[in-house]
Amino acid sequence: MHFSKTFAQLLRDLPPELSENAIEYRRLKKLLNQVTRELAALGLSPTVLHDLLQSNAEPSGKEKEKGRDSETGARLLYEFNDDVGHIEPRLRLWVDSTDPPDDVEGKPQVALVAWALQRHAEAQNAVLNSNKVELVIPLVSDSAFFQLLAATLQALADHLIATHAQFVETLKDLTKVVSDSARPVSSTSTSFKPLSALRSDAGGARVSASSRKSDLYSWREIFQLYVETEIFESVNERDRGSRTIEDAETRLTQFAERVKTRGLDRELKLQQSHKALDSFLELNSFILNVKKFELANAEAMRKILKKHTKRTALPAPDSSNTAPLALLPATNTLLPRTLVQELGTTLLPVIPSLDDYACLICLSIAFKPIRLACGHLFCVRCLVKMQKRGSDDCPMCRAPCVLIADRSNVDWALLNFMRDWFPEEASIKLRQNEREAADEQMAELGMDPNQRCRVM
Amino acid sequence: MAAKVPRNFRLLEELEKGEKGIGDGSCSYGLEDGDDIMMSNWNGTIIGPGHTVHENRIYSLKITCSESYPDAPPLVQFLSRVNLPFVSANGTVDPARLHVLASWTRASSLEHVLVEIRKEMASAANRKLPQPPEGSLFSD
Amino acid sequence: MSLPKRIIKETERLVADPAPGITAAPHDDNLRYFDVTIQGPDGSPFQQGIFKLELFLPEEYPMAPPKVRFLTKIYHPNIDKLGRICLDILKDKWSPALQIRTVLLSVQALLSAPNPDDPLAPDVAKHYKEDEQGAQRVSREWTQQYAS
Repeated sequence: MHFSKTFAQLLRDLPPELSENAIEYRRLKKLLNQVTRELAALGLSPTVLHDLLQSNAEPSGKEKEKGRDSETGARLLYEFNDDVGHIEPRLRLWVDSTDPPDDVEGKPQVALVAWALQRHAEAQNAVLNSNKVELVIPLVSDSAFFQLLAATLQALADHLIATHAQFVETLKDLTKVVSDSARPVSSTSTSFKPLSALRSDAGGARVSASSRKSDLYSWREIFQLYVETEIFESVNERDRGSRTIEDAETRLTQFAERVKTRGLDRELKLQQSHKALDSFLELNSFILNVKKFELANAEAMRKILKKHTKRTALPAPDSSNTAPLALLPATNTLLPRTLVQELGTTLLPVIPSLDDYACLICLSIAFKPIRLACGHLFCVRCLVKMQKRGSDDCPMCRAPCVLIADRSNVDWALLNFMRDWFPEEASIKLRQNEREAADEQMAELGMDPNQRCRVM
Repeated sequence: MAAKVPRNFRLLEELEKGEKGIGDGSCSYGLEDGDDIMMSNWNGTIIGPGHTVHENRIYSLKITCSESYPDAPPLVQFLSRVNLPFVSANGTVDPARLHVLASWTRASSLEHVLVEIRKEMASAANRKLPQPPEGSLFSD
Repeated sequence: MSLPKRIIKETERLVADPAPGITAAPHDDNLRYFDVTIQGPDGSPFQQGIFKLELFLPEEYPMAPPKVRFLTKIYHPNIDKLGRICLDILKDKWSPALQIRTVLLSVQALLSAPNPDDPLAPDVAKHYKEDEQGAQRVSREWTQQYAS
């Protein structure tokens, strides 16, 4: 299938605000036909151009160097003039005027063109440089081609900037809605009493899960599922990096399905949460579309430049010839990535993630949190275990500060934060800690904790 | 349920203990071949208890730990000739007749086996049993 | 007591997202006991070898280090004939913040950087000190013979 058809099909699946700003592949292709005709009119068929440019490239590497003449006596350079503020491709030709063209054996065609060009030049703006003629041939159709390309790329870049700004706005609104609907207990309830080292029952640190209407836990589960699905980027050791469009699309569908099958959408209690979930999914589809759109454009750009080289034999802008590329407006090919990152840094942190508050030893919530003198954080249970073993070194930095830790090392601010944002986890961990400590005490007394005395 | 130590790590523990030396040195054991990565074949040595017919005798034993050790007891065989009720004519220890093997649990060990055999040698019933010539082997 | 959450989490990640050149899978009948393979690091005499190991998490883990042993024969100054490994983090330098993954990566690194000054196999260490090239040749031969 021709690429123009494939491209059109790709664009048809995208929302109009994107597809309307795509690279104008068909128009560029038509212009390319004109370029070919223009060059043919100058006697510069692809074969001729190829030979001329080839002999130019071989002896001296530097483009502008007017060194030795090639064996044909003519040198040709394809260059881009941007003095005028827009791209203007042209050919620069040097011909040894004393060299009778028909002397050149084996390459009559080249000679003929050179001769023709020379005569053409003499009549116009040729510069006599000792016995050499240097002439510049502006390529009108080729200019039109590159100007159209530049214009579409510019429009594309502008559009993507606008898109980005719009995305940020939507994301901001969504973030506000989610943070409102997932507010923790303390924000509205009067029953939440922060604990501190000064309160007499502070060591107890009871946790009560509130029944106040908040979608905190649903949102946390949704976001955790979202992070685990690794829709756009993999953080795995084997396939770290951006995913393919197909992969990302499958994963996005999977994510939406899992939210449904786990009933997370139905669990949302607040009306605004439901709307926010839809908006969240839409934002992700949008990122996927931008990704598709950018890939299609990059492919169109690559194809049209390749076609340009093939049809004309003029060297394509590539790594060795970056001049025209530098003149073309740059598009932000990393936009999907930026959007994913923005989502990850703006919206997701609204709900604190348990992983960020886990004890590095037991990997459960670090409750009650003990902050060692070195600044590292562990749960009280793991700290006690270390102390019982007589290990003094901090597990993270080996600073000797485990054994001196005591109740004054409880991080009260964090303790309150955890009771607030992780009431269920904190309460479970507290019960676990107590059971474990009791079992340990029994074992120290020489009793098997699994064989408890039962009162019938 | 407590962590169940797998066979190989259990045998490594026993090896390290054996290398450090157990008790008063009257019983010892080690790998038959230091290259045996599966640690199946072991040598045991028992110095005969004093004030018995076994006094000053050194008994060599071969101990084999199967795949299912320590869920299953080891196979124990005397290399040095000995006359004991739980040792068969070819030197094999009858697991049914030695308490530590008959009532084997994961808590039992190679050390227990050797120590109990030595205790049996000193028991009232066995301390005066007539013995084959010192230094003779079952393979002779 | 059931398997601690930490061990469950570590196992899940080991299986779902293994470190390059390392596999670790728990036994069905003992979830604290792992079959491990480590690929010999490129540029070391153990390159292209696949070494089998076993790893066990004792009751006190993670307060106490895991126990690790090579099952494949290997000619290395810090690994003895029974596959026991001389590595500080498996002994006095253990920290409960280390994990199975970090331990196995350290073992893999030990293959790249043998330390003959802290030997567990004195004959191999002597060989490595006196004739490193000759010793490396033997390591390569053993790798070909036992680890492929």
